[in-house]
Amino acid sequence: KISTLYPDGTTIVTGLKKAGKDIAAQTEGRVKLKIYPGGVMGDDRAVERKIRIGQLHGLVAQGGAFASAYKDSQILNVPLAFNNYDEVDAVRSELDPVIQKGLEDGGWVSFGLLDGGFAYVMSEQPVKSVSDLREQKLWLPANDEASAKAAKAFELSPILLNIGSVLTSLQTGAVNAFAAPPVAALTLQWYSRVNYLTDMPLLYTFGMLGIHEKYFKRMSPEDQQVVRTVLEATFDKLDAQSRKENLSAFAAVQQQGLEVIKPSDEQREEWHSYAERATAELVEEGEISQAMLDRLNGILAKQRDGQ
Amino acid sequence: MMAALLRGVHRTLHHIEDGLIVAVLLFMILLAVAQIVLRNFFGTSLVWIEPLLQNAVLWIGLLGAMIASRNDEHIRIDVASSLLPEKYHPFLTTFVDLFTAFICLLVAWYSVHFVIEEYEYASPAFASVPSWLLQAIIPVGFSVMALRYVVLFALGLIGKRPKMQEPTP
Amino acid sequence: MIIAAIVLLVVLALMGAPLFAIILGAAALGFYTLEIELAVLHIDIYQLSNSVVLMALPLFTFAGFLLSESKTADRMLRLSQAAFGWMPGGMAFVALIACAFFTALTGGSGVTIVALGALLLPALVKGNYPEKFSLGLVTSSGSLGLLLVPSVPLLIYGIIAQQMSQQLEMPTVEIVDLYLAGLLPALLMIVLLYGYCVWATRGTDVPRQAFDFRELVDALWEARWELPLPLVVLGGIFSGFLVISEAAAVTALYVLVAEVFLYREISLRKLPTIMRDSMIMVGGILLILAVAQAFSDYLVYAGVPEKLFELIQTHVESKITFLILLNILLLLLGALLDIFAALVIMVPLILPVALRYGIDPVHLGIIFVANMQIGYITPPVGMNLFIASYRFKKKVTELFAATIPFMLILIIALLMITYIPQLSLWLVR
Ligand code: NA
Ligand code: NA
Repeated sequence: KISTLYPDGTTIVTGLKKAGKDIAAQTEGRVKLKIYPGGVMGDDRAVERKIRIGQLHGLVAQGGAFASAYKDSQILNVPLAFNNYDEVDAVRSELDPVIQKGLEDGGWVSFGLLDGGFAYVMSEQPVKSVSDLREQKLWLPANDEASAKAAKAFELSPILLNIGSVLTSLQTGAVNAFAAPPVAALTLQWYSRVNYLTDMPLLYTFGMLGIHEKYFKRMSPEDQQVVRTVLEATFDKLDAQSRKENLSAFAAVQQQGLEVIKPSDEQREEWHSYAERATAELVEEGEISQAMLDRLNGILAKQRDGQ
Repeated sequence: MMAALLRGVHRTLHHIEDGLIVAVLLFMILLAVAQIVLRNFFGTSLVWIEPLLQNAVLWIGLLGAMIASRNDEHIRIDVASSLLPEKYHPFLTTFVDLFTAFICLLVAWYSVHFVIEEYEYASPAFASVPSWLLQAIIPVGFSVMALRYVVLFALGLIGKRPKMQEPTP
Repeated sequence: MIIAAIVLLVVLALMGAPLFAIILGAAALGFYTLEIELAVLHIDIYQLSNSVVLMALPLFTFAGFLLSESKTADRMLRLSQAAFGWMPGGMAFVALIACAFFTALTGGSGVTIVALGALLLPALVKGNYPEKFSLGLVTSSGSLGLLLVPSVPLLIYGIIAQQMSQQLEMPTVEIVDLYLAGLLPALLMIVLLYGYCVWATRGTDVPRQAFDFRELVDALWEARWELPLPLVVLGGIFSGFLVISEAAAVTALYVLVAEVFLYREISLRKLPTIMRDSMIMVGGILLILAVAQAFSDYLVYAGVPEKLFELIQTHVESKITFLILLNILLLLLGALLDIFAALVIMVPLILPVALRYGIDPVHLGIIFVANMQIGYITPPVGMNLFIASYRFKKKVTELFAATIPFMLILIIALLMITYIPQLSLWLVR
């Protein structure tokens, strides 16, 4: 029994339902996947509690939801770590298995990551430099420690609102800038209230399915293997599909009239120096280990040399 | 002696409940207004205000429900008492009080265990406020309500229970 | 065994057990049969701390209590009589318009009845409207503005529909379009209800007064501290300064200052008592909302809405039959479920099928919310009935009886909205 905030009918939910059918067929009905889409079982924290008492067994959520089981799974969310998807792919091909293993040691069986795309700054006024962004009324989600910390490191004073009131607040001007993946900006209609997109991948986002080990181990080893095989294949496919959707969403928001803003090299430099400070703080607070960060930088250096 | 002590505890509990609910409401108004002023005149927000306000709703809900249980002033769909003659009413309330006390006790029981577990998990709800502390109002609230319905049940047995009524705020 | 337990719960409900205990009992029974640990009840109750709009309930309620403890109702009555007293059914007209706007602003969480109903009911009764009629009018008007800007349920429908539009072949659903589409249906409801009000009070002696400009100016001056209130709230929200819960906080503070320090009709010493009393009522309502969450959770977990829907899907051929059944299903669901739960659960199930029957998604949104609006005054889970019962110290059964004629009018409006799509789509497509 698996909960997700993704609504019914989305690629991910449809894909999971199909995987459920395959698993039921291959295990002769011993294992069934029941999906509760659209957040009907509550937000991530409520779902986590329900998993603890056994009402639910797993959830599909943003990577951050699993961070407490394996802190280094946040390595992909380091601000401004990547310049493009090639770098993401290089890092992911090496670190995905490490993250998966780490999470499994922390109690969550997972089956591969799901591309969430880069989050970009989108705003009413053009944002090139960090100080440009400081002058915007920047929205950040309420109740989100990680993004609040990042904002602090960039010396931003964000406006915290629940996700449901973002569109109306954009309409009325209570906020006029946000950072989000284009897919989110598109489906939630936020794009229609801003004019500019800063062409700088602020943050890489990903989702994943975690089934709690407690319940996964109840199945026979053969059934566990079937579930792994089917779901890993499913997530490979879904990952590629969401990447495609993210890329086309990036093109779509531009077609809808968002002007792309390119910061100068100096401005990029400034962004990166703040990002490094934010990352250093993450390491200091024990959110990410230095070893993992070094490993990320190693892969990136190799990839950038190779080009 | 014993009775005086009980009455003292009883009165203290009333004062605590009344004081808390008024304080929570005042804090709610002031914090929300502070957040508005910060955002519109200083262009910033304080991270901990929003979650604190949301949890204040839970506390107001349970404190209010506890106070409403003092005289059994809860929302109900009451058909039997208007159909049956007055002399059967004590019979109705005896059953109903027992049932309500049982349900409250049931929730309190599972709730206590869950909150203890939450305490052991030690997960903070926001900033550094532990989430077990915020949730603790649920087992406390239902325990107090259970206790009040047990008392109402006992009063019913000796014929001193206040009459079952529609809510009268 | 299970059946015996269900019967017992029904009997206890009829015997007058508190509703929260009955709903909790039903949820506990349901989860018990599914072998789910009952700690789930705690988790669902804790969800009460997870809403951003709910904060508006205690704050608006407190403001409403303050207003009803002072002489606001008198001033309202005088002013509205001066402005609309010359119209037939003028006070009823005022009630409808005020409720519609207020509900749109507060998202229909029952706040309208608490805050406005407390003013309107005494004013209506003072203005010689029959009590039963007045109760029915105020209770059923409490959800009248759900189709107007900036209604939250309509917004939620829009967001769900937009998310689904990626996977389905359908025209886009803009939130602005939904608000535009809701305008005429909302007006239709107000006009029909007003018509009924005039007709229903035709025999009674509701005094009409001649229009007097001086009296209007005097009444305006007398209400000078309270008149800016709607402007503060509406202006705050539309200018982007405030979100709903903040508008509620500003309202509470504003009313407190106005009644305690400007009108001086409430003493500081009396304030804590008013705060406590208002929060007792809020506590009763919040407790029901919390346990309804647990019951909803059980229904969804057990797949009850889907099963209901599959049953209907296999028996329906034409668009008309589908729409008729849709109305019945939504009215039933509205009677059982909270509006947000109903939206989140049913829209993803119904939208794809409705598209196959050729129904415009914007039209469907309006049908959906219009149905749910009626659900607010239908037992067993008619939130407005409970809140009104609490607020006016009346029995739920008595209130339901009073709302029946208004509910019939609203059902007529619903049928027109459902079968004349142009009502919704004229301003949009
Ligand atoms: Na209802
Ligand atoms: Na309802």
